[in-house]
Amino acid sequence: MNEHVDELLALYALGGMESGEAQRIEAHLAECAACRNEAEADRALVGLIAQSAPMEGPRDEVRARLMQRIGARPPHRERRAISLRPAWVFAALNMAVVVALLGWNFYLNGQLNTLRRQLGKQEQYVSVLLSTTKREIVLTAQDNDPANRARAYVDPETRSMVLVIDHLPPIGPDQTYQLWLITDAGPQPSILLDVNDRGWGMTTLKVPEPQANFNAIGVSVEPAGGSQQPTEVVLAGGS
Amino acid sequence: MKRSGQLDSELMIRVVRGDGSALAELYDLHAAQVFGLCLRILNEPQLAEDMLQEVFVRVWEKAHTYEPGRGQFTTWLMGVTRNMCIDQLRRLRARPQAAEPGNADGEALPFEELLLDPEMDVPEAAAANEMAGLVRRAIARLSPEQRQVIELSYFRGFTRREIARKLKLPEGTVHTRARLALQNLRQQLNTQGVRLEDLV
Repeated sequence: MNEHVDELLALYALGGMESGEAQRIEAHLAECAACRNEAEADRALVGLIAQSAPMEGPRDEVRARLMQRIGARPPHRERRAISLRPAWVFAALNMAVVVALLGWNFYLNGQLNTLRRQLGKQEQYVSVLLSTTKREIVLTAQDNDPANRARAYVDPETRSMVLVIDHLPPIGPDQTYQLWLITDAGPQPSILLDVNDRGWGMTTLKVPEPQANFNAIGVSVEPAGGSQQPTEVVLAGGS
Repeated sequence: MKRSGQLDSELMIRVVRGDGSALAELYDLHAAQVFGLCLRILNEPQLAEDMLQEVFVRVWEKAHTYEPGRGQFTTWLMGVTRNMCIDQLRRLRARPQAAEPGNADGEALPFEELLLDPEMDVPEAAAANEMAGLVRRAIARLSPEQRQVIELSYFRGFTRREIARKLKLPEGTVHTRARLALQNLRQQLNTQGVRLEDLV
């Protein structure tokens, strides 16, 4: 589906499309930033419609039954999906990433929705990397190892950030890398990061409004699941 | 005091780590809103309570799929709730001779009569939540046809084809009504000072 789908987005956000049509729209959204932005705005608005339902207090027994059930069932411990890309992409950071991602976009067109969603993230990378107002932040290793490094690109207009990290040392199975946004109020916990076996990872995120004026960013090693305060900062840098 | 969005995110981090007390806190914060939506869609207290429990079990099991960068936690949570309720509603409809939940006479309301009354589904009570009150008032100001398409698609789970067939309208008209409904709603909320961009 190459044509814009803006005429369909309202009913799509309201959940009124048949599943086949909804999949076609999602395929288009993975490729089209303009329609995707409109869909996100509609989704937020529809979220408010949901919250307009009158609040009702359930009986206390429901809470008790819920806690009993989850006590017997551990949660899924898989970390949040953060896309990993081959290490060669990092070598030609700007244009090579753009070309590669656009090429992937073309190749993966028409594939499964999971792959389409990854393509959507790649478009976000491209959008940030091509932004003329982007701000670049170089993160350096706290132990002065020049091989360990990261770069962040932030588009202040959309508050979108692309983070590329490389050569991070291996960590234990019960540990994770976590991103921090350093504001005047101190370090604010952000997303968990995955890296491949060569310590390479790339991800994108939208900086929350309250943290939009962050002064610096950092990467730390934390227990699995992340922390509220940084434990061991391995990379840091500011603008 | 922490902003509610920040508190939700912190609790979700703890839920991913398997902290049951964090789920209990999320439940205490949002159960009334989730239960309200379950009741609104399923229209049957027992079904709604069962669904409320299933929603929070889903949160427990799928917390890692929540991406803070894609929007507020409440938007995600209410989306999960709506979809689970609609799936249940469709399962009930698919049963032979099943009635819409809550219809004591065992028959669904005539389709074309839904929400044509401007007072319907816009209760004045329970306005404790200021945002919910604003949204309800904004919905009440939409045309009956625009309210109807929101009701049928979002709260009843009908697809555009089903809506078009039963209202005897072209599918394009259903799309137009939906688009105008959201457009007018957005405009009215902007007028009320609601910053929708903060929710995206």
